[in-house]
Amino acid sequence: MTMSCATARERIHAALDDPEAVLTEDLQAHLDSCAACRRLHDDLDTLFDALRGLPRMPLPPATLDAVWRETVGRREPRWAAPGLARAAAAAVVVTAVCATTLYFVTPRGPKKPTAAEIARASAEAEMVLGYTARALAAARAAAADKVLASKVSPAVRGEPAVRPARRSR
Amino acid sequence: MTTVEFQGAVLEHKDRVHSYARHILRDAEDAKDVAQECLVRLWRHRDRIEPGHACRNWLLRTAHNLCIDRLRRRQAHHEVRADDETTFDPPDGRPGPERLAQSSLFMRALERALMELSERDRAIVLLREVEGLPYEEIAAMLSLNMGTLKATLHRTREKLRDALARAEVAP
Repeated sequence: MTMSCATARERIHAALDDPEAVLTEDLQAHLDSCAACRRLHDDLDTLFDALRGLPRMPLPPATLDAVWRETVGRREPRWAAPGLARAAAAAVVVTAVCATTLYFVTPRGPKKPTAAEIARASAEAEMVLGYTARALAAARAAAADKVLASKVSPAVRGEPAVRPARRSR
Repeated sequence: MTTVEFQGAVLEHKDRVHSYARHILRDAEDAKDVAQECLVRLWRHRDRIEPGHACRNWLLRTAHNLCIDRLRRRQAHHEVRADDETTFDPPDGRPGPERLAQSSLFMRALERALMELSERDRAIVLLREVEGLPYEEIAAMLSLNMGTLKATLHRTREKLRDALARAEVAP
């Protein structure tokens, strides 16, 4: 069954709506057999290309200048001046050189502790001294016990009395 | 959008916006004003506009809205403007290849045919066929549903074709 001209017309427009679309076989067959639809297709194709290639009307330079003035141009003139731009660049370079020189030349002494570091160190020292004192007291007590133990009689300690052996005559 | 991106966008789209405004308004002075206003608004809203297609679409939408405002104001003041016949004369008048092409019979007839269209039909053709905006974007911009938009575009293409035939220039 052949395609009607009304359907072909719709399909021609649809093909223009999607430029990547290819003409289907049945539409191509219709265009091959119908001069009016073929002319419509060719005309619309040319029209489409002409519209896509419609030259643009350039915005006048004075209007573009006005746009820059009202937007970025408000700050631009101050920095756009070549003399000021060069002076700013030179100032940045001089500052960088001075800062680098000062960093390497300035002598750096031993670092002084902060108050917090001193406080923490004092607390740690007190703790160590406390442990040492307790260890010394424990050692003294242990030595005293040993000495006293040697002087106490076995009876006091609850041990059986040992009779001395008789001397033979 | 950074300042540098804004400057790039202005240079890329200034002629597009100006041409669109000139086609819709048919008045050189109004078109310049609209293009300038449009680009200044881009600067004010640059923080929330991405460069590229989004920027192009935003500019054309803004230009369209500004043009519609101007047309309504004209109607309110009953202003009648003569059709701008010098639309594509380059400002310096140099007879370069572009000018030769522009002055061809066909392009002039196409210009006249475009100007004969209603503002809405002209906007549809310009936004779709000239600028290549997606249908969805145009439909949202002109508050049309997709079916109406496509049907109008198809009808308008044939109107242009008929106008060119009447002018006895082959498209």
